[in-house]
Amino acid sequence: MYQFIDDELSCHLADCVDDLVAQGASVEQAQVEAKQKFGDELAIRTELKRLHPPLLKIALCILTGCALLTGLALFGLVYFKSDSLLGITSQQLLLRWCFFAVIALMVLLDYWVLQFFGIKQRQATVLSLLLTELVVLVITVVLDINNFEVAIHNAIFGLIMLGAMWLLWQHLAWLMRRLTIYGTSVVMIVSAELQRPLFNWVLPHPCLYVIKDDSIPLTGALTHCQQVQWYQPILWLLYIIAAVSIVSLIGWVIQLWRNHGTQLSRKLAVSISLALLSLAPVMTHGINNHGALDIIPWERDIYTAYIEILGRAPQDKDIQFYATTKAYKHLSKVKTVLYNSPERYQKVKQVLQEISGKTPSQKQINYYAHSFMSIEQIRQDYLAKTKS
Amino acid sequence: MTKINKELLKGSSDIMILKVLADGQLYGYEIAKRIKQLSDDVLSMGEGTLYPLLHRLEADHLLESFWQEVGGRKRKYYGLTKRGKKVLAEKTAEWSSFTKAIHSVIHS
Repeated sequence: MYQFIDDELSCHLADCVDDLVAQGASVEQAQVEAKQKFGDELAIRTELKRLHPPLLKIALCILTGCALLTGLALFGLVYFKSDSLLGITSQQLLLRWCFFAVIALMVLLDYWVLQFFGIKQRQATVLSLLLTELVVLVITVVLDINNFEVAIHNAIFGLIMLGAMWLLWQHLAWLMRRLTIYGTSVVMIVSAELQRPLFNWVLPHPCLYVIKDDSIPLTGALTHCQQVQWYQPILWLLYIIAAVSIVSLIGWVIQLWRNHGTQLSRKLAVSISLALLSLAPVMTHGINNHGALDIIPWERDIYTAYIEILGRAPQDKDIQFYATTKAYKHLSKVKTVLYNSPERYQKVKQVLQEISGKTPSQKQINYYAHSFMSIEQIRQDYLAKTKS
Repeated sequence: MTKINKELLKGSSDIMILKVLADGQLYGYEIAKRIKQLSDDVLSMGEGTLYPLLHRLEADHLLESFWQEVGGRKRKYYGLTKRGKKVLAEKTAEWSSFTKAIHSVIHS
């Protein structure tokens, strides 16, 4: 918790030793003399610790711990209760948790970049924005591998902010530089996560769909998009940024590992974070080719509709159908189809038969099947009528 | 070298740090060296005074800091904030009046 005090005082001692060695003392003599000149190290550390009450750090630790436990709990519910409403709701919450976790991780990586290079260096801004651009590209690939208009908008926004900061660098206070870097990163990540292009009112073709073969017609929700071949110039900006980002970040990680002053935990955390970022598109490859992540916010509604109308949870093939066709965007039509489906008819017939013990009449089945009552409501209503 | 009473030094430590940092960002060891250099070795600020004072001035928003990893070491650089520059100007004017007044009394 007070590592920053130890770092500052250790650096002072090391500088003092260097000066004494430069004046002709041996390293051992210099170390002894430096410690003598320094005075009561323990008293100085105690005084500095007294000036920095740990409340904020403790609060931050508790908050981080709670966030991690929440994520773990949600993951557990999703894994073990996947077929229930609780599991489906947890899936939505877990997606939101992941969004916030990515934003927090991004701000933390920016903070580490700034700490490594120092806020005086423009290089810190460049690397920080390149890192954000790369994360935006990863999010775009994970969430929707073919729609890159958000990534293009973010790339342009990032370049504008970088240019502005570069020109105004000397006029910006340190705090302003930090806030601008963090703010830019947050805006870009949120735009990527919500898949909302930043400059939709400026660029003439808001929806791009990247393909390898231009003979496939775009259908359904994609008909308003413009087909773009992967090699077309509009995407070159993204390829250049991705290449420059990857090379720069690898360079930074190498510098980090070579730097004796950086803690091992920081080196590992940065390396693992960047490795996970690179692997994320590979690990999630294919998930969103079938819209599996897009449908998560809608799954609860579909689940509720199936339980009410058909008396069962949707199966995996049902979810896949809605995910690939994006039919979930027209939920009222989906419900109409379910109400008029043969499956509902059979389910209503089964429920009436279970309650009365005999085959219900066609009139009774049609009455309940074409009503907008849920299966449970039908059960209660028919039970009451049968008893009376 | 004339030995300066610690009590005299106490009241002027913060203005010295603010003045030294007015010329640019420095880290703790450099600040102590600069004070010694500018005072021709008359004034020497110990680490027990220097670091608590730097941290206090930062907490009062007169200084701001950043870390930089240089040559395998993590160095904390300090610089003046806008408020720090304003306070330095006020304290410099105050100190000038004070020393002028003391000088007048001593040499009357």
